[in-house]
Amino acid sequence: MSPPDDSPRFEQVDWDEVDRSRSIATPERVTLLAGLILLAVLYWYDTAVAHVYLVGEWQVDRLDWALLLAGVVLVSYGLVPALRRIERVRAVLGRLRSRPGALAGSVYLLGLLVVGVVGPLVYADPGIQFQYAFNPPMGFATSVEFQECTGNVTGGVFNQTCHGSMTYPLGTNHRGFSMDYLVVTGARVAVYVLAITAAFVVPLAAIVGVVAGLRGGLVDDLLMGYVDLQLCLPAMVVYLVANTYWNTSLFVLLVTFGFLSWGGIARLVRSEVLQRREAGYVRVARGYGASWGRVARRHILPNVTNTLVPAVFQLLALLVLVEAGVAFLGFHDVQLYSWGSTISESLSAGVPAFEIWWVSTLPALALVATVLSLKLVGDGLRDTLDPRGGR
Amino acid sequence: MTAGDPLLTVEDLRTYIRTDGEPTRAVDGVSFDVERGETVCLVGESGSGKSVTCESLTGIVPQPPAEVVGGEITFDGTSLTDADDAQLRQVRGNRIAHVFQNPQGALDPVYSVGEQVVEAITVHDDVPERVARERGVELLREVGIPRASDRFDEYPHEFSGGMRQRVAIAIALAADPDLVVADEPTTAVDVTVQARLLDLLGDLTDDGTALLWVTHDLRVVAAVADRVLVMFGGTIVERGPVEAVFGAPGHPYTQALFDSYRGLSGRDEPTAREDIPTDGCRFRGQCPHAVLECGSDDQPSFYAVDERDDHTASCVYHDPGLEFDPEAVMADARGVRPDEGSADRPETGAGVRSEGSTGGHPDEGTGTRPEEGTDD
Amino acid sequence: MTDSDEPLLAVEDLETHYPVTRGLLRREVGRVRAVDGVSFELRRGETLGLVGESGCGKTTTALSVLDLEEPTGGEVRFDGEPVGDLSGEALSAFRRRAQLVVQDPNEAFNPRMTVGEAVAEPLAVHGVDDAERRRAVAADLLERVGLSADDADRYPHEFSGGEKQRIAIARALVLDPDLIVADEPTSALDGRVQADVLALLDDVRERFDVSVLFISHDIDVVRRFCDRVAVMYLGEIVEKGRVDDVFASPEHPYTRVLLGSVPSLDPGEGSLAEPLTDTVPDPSDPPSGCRFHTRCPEVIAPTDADLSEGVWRSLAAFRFTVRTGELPDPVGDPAVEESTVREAFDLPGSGGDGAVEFGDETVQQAVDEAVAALARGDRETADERLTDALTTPCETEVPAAVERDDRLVRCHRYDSGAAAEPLPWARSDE
Repeated sequence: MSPPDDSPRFEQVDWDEVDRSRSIATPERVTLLAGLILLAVLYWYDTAVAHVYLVGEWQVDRLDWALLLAGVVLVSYGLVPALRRIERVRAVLGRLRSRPGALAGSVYLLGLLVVGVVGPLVYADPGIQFQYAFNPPMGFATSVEFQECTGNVTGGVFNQTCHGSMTYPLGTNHRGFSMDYLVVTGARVAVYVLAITAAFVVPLAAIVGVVAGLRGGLVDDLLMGYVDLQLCLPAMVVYLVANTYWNTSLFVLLVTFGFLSWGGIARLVRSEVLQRREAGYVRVARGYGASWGRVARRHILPNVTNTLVPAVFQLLALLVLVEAGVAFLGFHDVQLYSWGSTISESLSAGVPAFEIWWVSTLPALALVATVLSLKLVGDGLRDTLDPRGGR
Repeated sequence: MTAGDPLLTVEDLRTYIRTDGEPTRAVDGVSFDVERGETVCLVGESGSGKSVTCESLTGIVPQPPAEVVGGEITFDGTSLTDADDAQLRQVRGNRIAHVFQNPQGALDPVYSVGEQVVEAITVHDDVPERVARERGVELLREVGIPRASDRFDEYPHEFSGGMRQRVAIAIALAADPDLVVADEPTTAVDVTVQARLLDLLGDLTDDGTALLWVTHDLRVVAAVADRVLVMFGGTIVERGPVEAVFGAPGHPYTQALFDSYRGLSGRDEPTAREDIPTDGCRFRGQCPHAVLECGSDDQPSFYAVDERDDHTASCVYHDPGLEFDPEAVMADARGVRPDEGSADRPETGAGVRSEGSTGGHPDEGTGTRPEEGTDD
Repeated sequence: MTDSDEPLLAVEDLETHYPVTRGLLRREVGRVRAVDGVSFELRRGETLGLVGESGCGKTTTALSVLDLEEPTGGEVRFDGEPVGDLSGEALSAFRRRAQLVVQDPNEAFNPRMTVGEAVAEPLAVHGVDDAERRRAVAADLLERVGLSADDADRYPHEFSGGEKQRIAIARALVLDPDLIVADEPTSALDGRVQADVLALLDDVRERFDVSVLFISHDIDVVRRFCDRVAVMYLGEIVEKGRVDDVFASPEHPYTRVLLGSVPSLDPGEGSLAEPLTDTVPDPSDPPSGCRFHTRCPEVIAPTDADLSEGVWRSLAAFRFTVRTGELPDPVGDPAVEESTVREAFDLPGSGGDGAVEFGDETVQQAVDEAVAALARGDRETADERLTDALTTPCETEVPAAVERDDRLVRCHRYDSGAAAEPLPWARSDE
């Protein structure tokens, strides 16, 4: 009786029968291709036929195309591999659950994602309503000059105090926009920043770092020389210059800052790759025939996460703050109500900022929460991805 | 304190290491002496607790997570266990010096070799720099570094591994200690380099410095030791003069260790660390002669082997009060007989493939016990 | 099926040199001759040990054999086919039939993969797409090396060194190889664990008819495990033969020094062997002729000199130490007494009082001049004088490899036209 074909004994694997052909159509590539085709169709539709609306009234503009592309990339190379290794993912999530800080952070970030994408469906642009400017949040009162107060009005004729109400539970800014609307649109901006950076900047940095580290020689010298050059360019200055050529927009901001900041991560990845290139298990893998590509994917990159993941989340946090800072300085797209711009505008609203504290404080809290979550999740993820428990 | 007292006395030392679960009992009741000028070898496999024992002597074991939870250490009449950090620092380097395994790790790469030797001198002896430098060069000469005065200012990476280890030894000797504790000092170097280091350390101890040498290599023990202490599972299982222990190892663990130097052993499954018990004889889970009595008490007492007072083993089979026949254990004592030549001559074919080789042919003097054939 | 006479692995004049470069354009300023003309054969089911100290090139040889380091010369033939020419399917087959086990068990595994995945991965690389089957094979193999199938889901850091080496052997076996190249597989292990892993490897060898190329610096381990052994020094094989023969009666002086440096298990007095000088030459600048001559205790005396063996040895040690520049202090300082120099080098007598101690005037004179030069701090002159007067045949000619009865030795004393006879050898503690 010849042993069955699926015998678990290694010496009974019939090597003449085994087919070594590599499959080109991996699930990731298929998903990516499908997504790109879908996007192309949408784009054609948008330009040729009629405007595409994403969710509710969300009209697709340049930034949104970038966001959609980012989404396609993240789904095909993030979600799909995760689903394929569901066991591993479950284990990681389990470990994450036991870290309250990282858990809270992840919940917040997920919330942010949902609010940023879905929020505008709930909140259509209310239009400027100056009469409702400077209403305080519910439960608070202010003596700032106002036109119409949606809540109770107390006090004498010259000292009127407006109280907050349910109509605008978080208060309004100088244009009469409700703060909850502004926080939500700010979330949308944050989502742009995070998604686009994660989908484009990070892979670029990682790939360059790996290629430079593995190939070495001239390729390495050239790539790192370019990175060094790039790191010399102050992104802020470039952005300001770009500002004068193109209209101020988040897109330009992301392009400038995003593409000028990947160099640091590329260097980081490269130095990790150099260290691990000579590791025993890499040598053995080459010995049993693994290609450099496979070695990079399966053996080197996963071991780089200890430095890469915190660095990436650091970069994301930084870019969120940069966007806020740039907006705060006034170099922002007036149409796009990011948290930074809301804070900035509150300071030049003609009224002392501390008297309309809710206009600056609430977005500031949102910023803090976002940055904090990013840090917590970054550190937590680093620890949970390493089976040794963050050594 | 009289001149006859041992230099170092360790009594029932226990060092436990905190973990998430049960603490690891790295050192679990170790007692021994080191006399002035003698060389004592602490031999055992990795995990036996020999390194932690040495680190516990001067408190350089990282605490936490480790903690010396019991026992007394007395050095030259003074208690080290009661000493505070300042007192310990006085002793460390000055009276008790350490040499570690890894020549790379022992030296700081950003300081020159000379600076490190001088530091070792001046930490304990406030002498002017010039004097310290002279002494340092002299020390480097003593340990056999050629062109010592030139190389004094070179950096560790400019030295080979063997040379670095010599420098480490020079640093250890800088303050003229009474006891040098060397933890596997020759494991990381080539065999010819090791031979020179063995010669060097032999010379250096001729002037009365005591040496406590930790190793897993029985050959090194044979080359340097006056007395040997065999450790397993955090305890000492056998002790005695090296000729006695090597001639006829009395503890089944020691015997197993000797066997591993011969053929290729037959243990099909590795023993997990958790399987080592924390009471009684730690080896009983792997011992072919284990009986119920092996599990009682903290650890079997030490009984004389072959009626020698100075050679004892912690094994119930050697207890004259019990009915066990020591011969049952000694039948496996395939040690080395000094007058019968080296035991490591290749036994024709038997060393490599056959099973249960009971050790060669008596006429080749391979050191097996002559009574072997009469056992039942 | 291949001809059973054909060796599984045939290495011929293998060379792996590394250029030493400088500058932006990477100009070659020297070469490290890590492997410099190594030849050996390995038959089916046989174990060959490559023994030597650090820097001798044994690891580079192992990696070059597997084409993981690119050889710069010579040929490696696996089952008759030159390995360097392989590509595509044939290369893939080679990568399946020849496997590597590395030294450090802590570096041998990807910390992010479970050991089950690690053992199964070679199968995936070679086309076994069924994940279930891979798991089953890996689990089965883990059982067979002494662990349990449940261990497949655990990570490398949860295992001890010895256990990891067992897993490494399992991984090396999973593709059913014909050759395993084991680079110091037990050097990181000690005592009984070492013996266990060796036993496992031996069992594997026997049961699955695998040839093993066993690299080690530990002579004792090679003695227990291997059939044949090749001793390497500075990139060359200096002696080769059956383990029992070579270790019972070593011929090459380096092999003798190596064996003599290992302390005996017998605590008796026995002294350890000593090479002539301690400095290991730089692999990028090896000594001329026989590479071991600068440290050889049996170096051949100059043909035209009339010296006793003992005297010649001291002079040789003197000469070669001066050559390396590693002068024992205080020699080397600008102004030293001649007597100090003589003492430092243990030179017989002093020619000062006219007495000719060496039995050869030319030599005597040269030595005197050299000592004087050293006393002045002039090492170069001393080196010149000594070289002129004390040239040994060992340095002028490269020794040929002498082969008889499956025994090879590369030493002038064994050349047929030798200027000197082989010396007898006995372990010093007998």
